[in-house]
This record gives sequence, structure tokens and C-alpha cells, in this order.
Amino acid sequence: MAKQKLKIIKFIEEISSKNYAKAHKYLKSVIEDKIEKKIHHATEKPLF
Amino acid sequence: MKDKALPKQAEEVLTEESVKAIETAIEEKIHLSVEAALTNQDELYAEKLEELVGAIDKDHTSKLNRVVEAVDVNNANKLIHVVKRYEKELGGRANQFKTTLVESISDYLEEYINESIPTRAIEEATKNSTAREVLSNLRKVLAVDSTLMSESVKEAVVDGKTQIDRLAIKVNKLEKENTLLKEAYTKQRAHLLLESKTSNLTGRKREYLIKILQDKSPTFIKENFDYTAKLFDKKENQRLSVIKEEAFKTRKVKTDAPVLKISEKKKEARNPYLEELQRHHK
Repeated sequence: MAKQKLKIIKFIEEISSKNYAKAHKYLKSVIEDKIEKKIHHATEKPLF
Repeated sequence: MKDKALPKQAEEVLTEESVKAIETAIEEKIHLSVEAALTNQDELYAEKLEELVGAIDKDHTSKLNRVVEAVDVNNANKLIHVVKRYEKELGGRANQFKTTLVESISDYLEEYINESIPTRAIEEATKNSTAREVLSNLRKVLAVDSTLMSESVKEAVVDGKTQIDRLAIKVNKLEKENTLLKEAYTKQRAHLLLESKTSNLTGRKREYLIKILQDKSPTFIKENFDYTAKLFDKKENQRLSVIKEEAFKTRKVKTDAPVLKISEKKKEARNPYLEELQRHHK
């Protein structure tokens, strides 16, 4: 969670300095982390 | 006017021209004197004015210096206030704002993802994937490929599985029974060994040895029986010596009293401690 927050902070910083490419990179990374977390959460549930 | 100014004797002596010359000379003299006086006055006034201007300058300079200092101090204080406020805002509220903003963005992204990709879909996908993986592993374990997936093979496999399960249960049951039997056998062996070893011993010693060794294994009894017996003997000797000492201390009849010799024998016979001692020494 702390890693995600750090990435969001970086995203805001890059947006503020109009470096949209890097901002896109950080936003993409945050979204990937969130989806990965959801998938991991789902896989932890037993099949039967 | 001139006529009145000059006396008659002077008018007789002086001609008009000489009077004029004297007048001119006097006027020049006066003019020079006035000029000299004016010059002196000018110089004096100039000096005084310079002094005055100097004093005014000095006064104004000191006043201006004070004003500048006061303005500097005032501005410095205000700047300190501004800096403190700035730091407070930056350290407290700005940080709070930053945290709130980051959390809001995080929550928003999570909501967006939930809406775009529902949790149920993700769970279903992971379940499918896990089920496929489990099935593949099962196939590997059971060595089942597409050729062996016919009904007859399936039945055989199921039958085999049932038999294996049944036999496993049977083996477990037999193992438990075997363990119980082994335990009972060991207990019986230990009991018999202890009985055989203690059969020829006296009451207290026998009881002590049985009490100490009754829950032990036969090997333990074999190895430790002699030590335990020796330990009991040692303790018993100690106990008897203590009893003997106490009996000698607490006796009422002295050995050198002739009158009580007869009754001494009787009392000796009655004293249980001495009886025990005598019995032991024999």
C-alpha cells in the first residue's frame, strides 16, 4: 500500500511538472498493482 | 544742504571742487568700509550657516538611521512571522492535504477498477485457471491422457481408488491395534519383571521399588533396579540412625540408675523405636 501511495505521489509530481510520459508510467504502474492485488486476493480463495 | 553742513570758515577755505573731492573721497571711504563690513558679515553668516547645516544634517542622519533601524526590525519580525506560518502550513496542513489527495486518488482508482473489471469476473477467471491447473496436475499424477479417458478406464481408475482408500483405512486401523498391543505387552513384561525381582524383598522396600519402577519399561527396570534398591537401603539406614538418636535423646531412664534397671528392661521392650532398632541390628 505504501508503495502504491509513493507511486501516486510521483504521478502528481510529474503531472505538476508537465512530464506526462512519466506521469503515465506511474499511473499505469499503480493500476497494475491494484489489479494484481485483486487477482492475488481472488487466487487465495480455495477452489472447493 | 552742503552749505549748512560746512561751517563758514570751511566754506571760505575750501573751494567747490575741493569740497566735491572731499565728498567723493569720503563716499569712497564709506563705500569701502561698507563693503568690508558686508564681506565680514557674509563670511560670519556663511560660517554660521555651515554650522547650522552641519547640525541639521547630523540630526537628520541620526533620525533617519533610527527610522531605518525601526523599519528593519519591524520588517524582520514580519518576515519571521511569515516564515513560521509558511513552515506551519507546509508541515501540517500541506502534508494533510497531500495525504488526503493521495488517498482520494487511490480510492478513485480502486472504484474505477471495480467498475471496469468486476471482482466476480476476476474471481471466476482465477477459479477457471486454478481448476485447469489442478486438473492438469491430477492428469500427471494419475497418468491419464486423452486415450485413457474412456468410460471403462474411468471405472477401473475409480475402483482402484476406492480399493486403495479402503485398504488405507484398514492399514491405519491395524497400525493402531498393533500399537495398543505392543504397549500392553510391554506393560505386562515390565510388571512380570518387577514382580520377579521384588518377590524376595521385605514389605517397605518392595513397596518403594514397585512405586518407583511400576510405570517404566522392562529395559529401564533391568538397568535401574539395583541402583534404586541401593538408594532405598541408604535412605533407610539414614532414617534409622536418625530415629536411634532421637530415641536416645528423649529417653527418661538413665543407664546408671540402679533402681530402675528392672523397669528399664520393660520399657525397652515397650519402646517401638528401640524395638525397630534392635530388630534391624540383628
